[in-house]
Amino acid sequence: MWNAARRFYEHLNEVLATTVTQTRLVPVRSRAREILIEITFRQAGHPIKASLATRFGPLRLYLGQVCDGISRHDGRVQLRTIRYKYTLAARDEDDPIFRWEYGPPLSGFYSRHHLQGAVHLQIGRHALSLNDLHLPTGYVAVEEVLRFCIADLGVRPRSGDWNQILLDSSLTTGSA
Amino acid sequence: MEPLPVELQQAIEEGELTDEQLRELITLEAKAVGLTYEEAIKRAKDRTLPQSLLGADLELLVQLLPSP
Repeated sequence: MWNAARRFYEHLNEVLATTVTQTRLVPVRSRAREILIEITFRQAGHPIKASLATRFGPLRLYLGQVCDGISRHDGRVQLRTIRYKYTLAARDEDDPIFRWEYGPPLSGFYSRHHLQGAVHLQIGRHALSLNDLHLPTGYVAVEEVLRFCIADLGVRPRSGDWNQILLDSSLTTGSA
Repeated sequence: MEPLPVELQQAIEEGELTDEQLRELITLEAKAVGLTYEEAIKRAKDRTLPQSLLGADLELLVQLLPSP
């Protein structure tokens, strides 16, 4: 399990370093529940966000996942993402502009894969925030968030073949 | 948030926390957002933690705790 997790986060760190940021993901697990691993950006033990220069100004990216492992017939362990949270926030704001989440069932029977954020919406005469809704999404892979950062937000890619790197990574991680 | 104790930092860098260290980390992050350990656990389960960096981390860390 730990080896599978190590391969996964080292792979993601390589993808990150060749696409949008050199900030590194760090895995953490508890001895009491070794089957679960949290992966997020950390420095000196603290969670951190990666700074991105976008065409809309500086934004901060947070990536967090909890994975477990499934034993395969060949004896290898396959990692499975059982929870994720990816956010993009303005540099000085806590409340994310976009927040992609997947996790355990929510009270209210909302979509488990959803997008929320501090985005103003007008539906008829009703003014609301995207934080008031759970906009359904499919499974959102890390690669697609990185693609969004480059293709939509204008983050300067860290290598010329970033598109192929993301396509290849989606195949490697099984998120394609 | 104040710097983490050195032993806790080292354990995080090595990627493996004892149950006690995980609780310590949750307690310190909870304190930094004005919550007790118990409040953080409850709010993580209710998905009502602050939408901040520490709130996001707490939500994921709580999932690593042994089932009651």
